[in-house]
Amino acid sequence: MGSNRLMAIGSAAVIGVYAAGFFKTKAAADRFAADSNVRRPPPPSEPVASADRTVERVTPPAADPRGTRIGAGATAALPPMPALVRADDHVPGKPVSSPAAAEPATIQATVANALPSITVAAADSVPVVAPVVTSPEVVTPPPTPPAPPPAPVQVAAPQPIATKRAEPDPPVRVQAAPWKDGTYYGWGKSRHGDIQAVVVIHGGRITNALVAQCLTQYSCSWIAALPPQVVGRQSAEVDYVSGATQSVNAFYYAIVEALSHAK
Amino acid sequence: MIRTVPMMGTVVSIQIVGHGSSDAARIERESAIDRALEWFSQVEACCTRFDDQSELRRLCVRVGEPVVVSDMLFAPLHFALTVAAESGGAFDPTVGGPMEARGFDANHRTGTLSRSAGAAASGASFRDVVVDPAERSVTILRPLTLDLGAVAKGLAMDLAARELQPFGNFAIDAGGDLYLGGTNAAAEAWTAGIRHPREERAVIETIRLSNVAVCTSGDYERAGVATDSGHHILDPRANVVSGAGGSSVIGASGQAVPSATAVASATVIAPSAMVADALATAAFVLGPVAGLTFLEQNGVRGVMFTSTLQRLATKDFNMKHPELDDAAVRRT
Repeated sequence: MGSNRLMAIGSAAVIGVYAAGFFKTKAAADRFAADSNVRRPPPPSEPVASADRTVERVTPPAADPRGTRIGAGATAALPPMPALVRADDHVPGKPVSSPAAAEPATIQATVANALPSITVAAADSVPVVAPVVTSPEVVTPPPTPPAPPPAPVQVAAPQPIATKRAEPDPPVRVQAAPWKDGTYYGWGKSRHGDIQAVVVIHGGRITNALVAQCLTQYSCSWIAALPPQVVGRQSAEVDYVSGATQSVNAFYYAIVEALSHAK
Repeated sequence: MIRTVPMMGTVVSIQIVGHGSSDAARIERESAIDRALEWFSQVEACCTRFDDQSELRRLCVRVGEPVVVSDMLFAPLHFALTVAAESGGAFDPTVGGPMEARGFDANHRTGTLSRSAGAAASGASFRDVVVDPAERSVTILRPLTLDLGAVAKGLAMDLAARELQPFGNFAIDAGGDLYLGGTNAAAEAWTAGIRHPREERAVIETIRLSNVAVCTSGDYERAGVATDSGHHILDPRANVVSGAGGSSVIGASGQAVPSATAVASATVIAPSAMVADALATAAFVLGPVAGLTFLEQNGVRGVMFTSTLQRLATKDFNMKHPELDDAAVRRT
């Protein structure tokens, strides 16, 4: 019997179970595997031009230090890309994801720190993120000159609803049912971690949507463009982000849950 | 913010220290507690022996074949079997059968009776369970009933503690087993009392703790119902109620311990509740002297009280608690 052997085994067991994210991801992952397809039908024949389907890309901060949001109109700036990546997100080598971007930016005390002691957690714990979203530089594609440290992607609702509504597209469902005024929270889960979203309803409309906590393994800058879409479309039906299907779905379900509280 | 719910046959209470009164801060804490409690639900659903649909019970009916199980079942089972081996069987997760035979077959909370196929089997031990970590499979060699009670609760506490780590300062109390993170509301290390094994509502000793679990096995909890055997900790080696440790005599304090002296309670402090809980149980069964040696060999701090209230502590138990130096006082 070696000293600390049991301790090491015990701690590793705890870390292992936690890292497996059993309840958070196992069941949820199975569900998502179905949901990923259920939520939107596969679009093989769909033209890239469909605004609703077009892959949006989180703009490099340099291009627009303030606005990480791009509406459908901004897709013109994108290189031609497959309309959707739905199989495995975060595929290394996908255009949008530089390998560096796939580095876990914020990991919620998981495998990254598989030390044989659970007391290390204080160091690897996630600072609880307030309505700020991310470190956008993680996403910066190489060609872009470095930007001034961008203001946190404070995804307030600066985007006038009109922007979206003015687009030629929308097959977007506009939520007809008026919501009750207030601030509502919801969690969305994915196999890569969870996202908590906040939705503010004023006058029966969504006036603000934010990522409150981003506990995904990957930077939430992936989905920085999504909250304004919620406001713009008055709906949880946000666009996909190539390479971040799971994060997008987690955000989607977080918004759905938040809105369910507003009914 | 404190929330208390019945869970895993006991009462689980979770507190997050913090005064942030904004809605966002409050809801954040609420959500975190929800998630922490969810770990208890998940572990219980998987590892309880009181539900014949639990993964543990479904495993128990498959004798003689390797069964691939979930991480959530494999990890605590593997750990329990390791403790069993290291303690020479003083701790044994196959104690479920004999426990049932002695009347510990009712869900403490619901009162639902639960009998399993292995209940009648006797003579089974941890050696009849073979695990393959590579395959994450378990082979049960003969009918038996696994009981991961203490280990599963400890695991749930550890998982909940990890869930709450971002808050720094929090406390989890699961039926008297504690995990204390960071500091209390006064920004001091938490103070935990060790229950007096013979007097209701009395504390026999207090300790200051931070970022550790403290678990106690006592002879005073959950007296048996079907027999007059008293408490619920069985010595798996003899299938008799434990506590009448060996015949040895000299405690760590140097005082003689009467050979017939039983352990009334064993308290263990460890970074993991799962470790603390299992080792407290093992030490309790091993008896005063062997138990103390076992704790020291495994690098945990512990204190035991005998039925005559003699105090036996590991050598470092009364040392300045090292984790207090590390206890960063975090503002909340």
